[in-house]
Amino acid sequence: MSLSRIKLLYLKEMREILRNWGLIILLVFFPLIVYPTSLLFLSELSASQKAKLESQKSHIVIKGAAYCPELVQMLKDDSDLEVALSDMAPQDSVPSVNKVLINVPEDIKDIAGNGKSVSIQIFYDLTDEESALAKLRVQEVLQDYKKELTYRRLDLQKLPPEFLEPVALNFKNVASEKKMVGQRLGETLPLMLIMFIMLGTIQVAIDLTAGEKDRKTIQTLLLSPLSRLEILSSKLLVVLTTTIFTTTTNFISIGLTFFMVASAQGKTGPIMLSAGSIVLSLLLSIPLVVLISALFLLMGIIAKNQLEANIYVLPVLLAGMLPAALPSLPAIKYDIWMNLVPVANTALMVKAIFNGTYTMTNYVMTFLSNSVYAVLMMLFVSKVFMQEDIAFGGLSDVIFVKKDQKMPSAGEAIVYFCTVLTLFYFVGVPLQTKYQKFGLVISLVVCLMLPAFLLIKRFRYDIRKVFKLENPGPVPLIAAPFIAWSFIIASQIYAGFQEQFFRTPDEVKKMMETIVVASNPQELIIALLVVAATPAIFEELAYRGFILSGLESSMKRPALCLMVGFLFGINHVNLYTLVPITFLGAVMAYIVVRTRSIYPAMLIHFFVNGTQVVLANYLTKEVTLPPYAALIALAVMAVCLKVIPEKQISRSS
Amino acid sequence: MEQAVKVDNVTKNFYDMKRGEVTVVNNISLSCAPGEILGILGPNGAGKTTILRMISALLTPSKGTIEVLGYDTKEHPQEIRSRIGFISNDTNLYDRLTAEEMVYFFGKFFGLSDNEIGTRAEKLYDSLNMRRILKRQCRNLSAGEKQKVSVARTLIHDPPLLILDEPTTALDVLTSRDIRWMVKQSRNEGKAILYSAHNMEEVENLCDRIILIHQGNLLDEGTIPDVVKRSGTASLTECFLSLVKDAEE
Repeated sequence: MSLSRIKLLYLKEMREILRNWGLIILLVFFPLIVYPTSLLFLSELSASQKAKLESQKSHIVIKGAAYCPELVQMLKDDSDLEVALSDMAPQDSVPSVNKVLINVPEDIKDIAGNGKSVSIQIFYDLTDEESALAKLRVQEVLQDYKKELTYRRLDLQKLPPEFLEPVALNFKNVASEKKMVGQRLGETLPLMLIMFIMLGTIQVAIDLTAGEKDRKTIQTLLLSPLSRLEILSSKLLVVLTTTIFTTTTNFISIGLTFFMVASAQGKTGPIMLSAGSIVLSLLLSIPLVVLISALFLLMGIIAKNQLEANIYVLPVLLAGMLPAALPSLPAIKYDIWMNLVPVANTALMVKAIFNGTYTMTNYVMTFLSNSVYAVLMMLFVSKVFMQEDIAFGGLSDVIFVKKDQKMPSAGEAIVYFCTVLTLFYFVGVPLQTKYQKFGLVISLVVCLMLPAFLLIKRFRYDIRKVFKLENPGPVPLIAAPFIAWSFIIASQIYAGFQEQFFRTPDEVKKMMETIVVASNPQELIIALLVVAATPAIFEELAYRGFILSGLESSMKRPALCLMVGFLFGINHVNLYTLVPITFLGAVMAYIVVRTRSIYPAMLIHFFVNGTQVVLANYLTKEVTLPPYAALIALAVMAVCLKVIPEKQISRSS
Repeated sequence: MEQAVKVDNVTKNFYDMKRGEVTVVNNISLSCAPGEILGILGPNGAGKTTILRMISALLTPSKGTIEVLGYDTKEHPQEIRSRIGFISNDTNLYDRLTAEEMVYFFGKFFGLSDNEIGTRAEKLYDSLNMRRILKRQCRNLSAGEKQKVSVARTLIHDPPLLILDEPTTALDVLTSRDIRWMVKQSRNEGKAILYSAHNMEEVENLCDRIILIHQGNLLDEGTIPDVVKRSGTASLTECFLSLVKDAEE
């Protein structure tokens, strides 16, 4: 790899970008102009609308005015209120005719002296701005009336006003103004920072990759003596330059806009004090910028053209925004485990920087962990860029290719998975909620099996090959229960470990228990059939059958097993069990690939679910296993996997 | 004479979305010596571009070996790419670079010094009659002018092997003439040239030898008179049509 050639290509790419006025306007001038302009326009518009609203009188109507002329007079004395008296006014005249309706009860007469309490009903519509304002105005008058009555009663009893307030509560916020500003900024700025990074990266990354394919210049470049790694490095540097520039520009623009607002209010101090936090946050985000840039370059590289790249970018963008929004959620703080989650770690650390709770050790750890992710992503992208199918075409060319006409393609497997998940959300979940065990069986048939059989019939696939309905031999079947039990032991210990930093809510635990708990032997058999046998058959046919058969034409074994496991984990729609289910799914995928048979996976699946049903019903007290039991269990599992013989595939098959 | 290009029993398979595995180039062998223009003829989809991409080390053969200027394409792709010049419909110019910048940057990619680029470029600009377009951005050039810039970009490092994939398609008569002149000039300088084209007259005028391919298979090869004679036809066009018809039957 030659640095001078990387520099040369970098200069060429930058020269082109700087001549692209559309991009310059979008990346530089747009953020510099849009924030102050929109803030100015919005604040002016808001002030004008508020003034207009407040200048209007609020029309209110009083029912039962005769019972309390004093209150009516107080309301009439308020210059902002237009009072009408009508005992016939209906409730639904609010807010179209009257903005507030006050219903005064008859027993309010002599209320000051009789020591009783009555209720005045005030009808208003909170969705109507005028009604909401009228309610506030009325509330103010009514509070005065209430206070007046209270003092009158105290007078009658010859009691001092302090009688009503034996203890005065005096709350004092010890947070400094700087800290308060930091707290508020810490909740909003991480999302903005990550959004700026992503938006700044996307356009340039796609233009430099998928754009080159569209403009037919990629081959011109690939024919030069530059290696693909040199080409990729230059492009990454260009994306980094523009992203860092646009992110900084965005921040400067927002900072200046806030400063303008704060200057008008004479409160520039806290903003100035936050400048250091902004610099620290920008420095922290550098490895994240590299990671995101590499990720979007990957989207552009695997796309056939810019249109396809935009399709790939959208889900990545949404997936990135979710962890970026974590700082705004309650009780989520930066911790050592959160540090392993890219994007979330930066977002939470930026929040910690702004509210002053960060430590330099955590700061460095976030920086380092993102750096590791960035390097890994770059290596992966360079590996993908080496693929000639990808460099000249796109992922869609590769994944929809049928290497075996009797089997689904990887693309079809992905489409099938998306269909399954959609059906599961909109058909399966309502069915399970309404009919529970019966709903579970029906949803497995409708959501998993129906689409698979329709695809097999439509494309005339070999059902035996797709579902891997082959004899596995005795060894995998004998090993199946040991693998299942090893998994249960390891996953129980893992669950205890996970609970320490990611607690499963009690409602989720209860919901899981209701499906498996049986009150008599008949119910237990039904639970075993519904929770153990049915998913063991249908989920295996879907995941280790259809999806694995489709994906295996395009993926190498480790990636294939992990991918099948991950999709299986996602399908359970439970974040708390995602890791163990993904692991189990990957192990079962490995066994199916090794034996070319679905039956061992079905048996393992049955034993895992079945054992859990039995344990939930017969285990009377909670058993805590020592951590080393997980290691023993995993060792047993590894031995079982090792002894399962690999079935050789003949070339003719 | 030492061959500049030696293609030995090369096959290339692709996976097609509808047809599954497809053999685009089937067990083809060819060679081209320095100072020789080898014409590669075939209808659309015959596999010409794939062969040329494999020779330029952009694609890897599924079977067989290719040696270019003494380097194996699988083992030394960068050495090969630094010694060839390639033009095709898929090697467009960068829209926002000027013609001069385009030539300059590619000269630098090929490791030339500023002085070397200056000297080489001056000659090319004169011979291709392109001085008036040097300061214009490529997006503002006509198809013919763009092709001249492509040629200059391809020749700036004085490569011993030129690969030209339909270089005169859709060009006007004058630009086509300039490019044919440049090709002949390059042959006279001792460069090996692989020339793929649809225009039979152009092939007859330029090429020393030809190979005819159809659906990835080699139909015939040799000098034009020999190939025409073997087919029992009167012209290269008739010979081409006859061989393709026979292959399809």
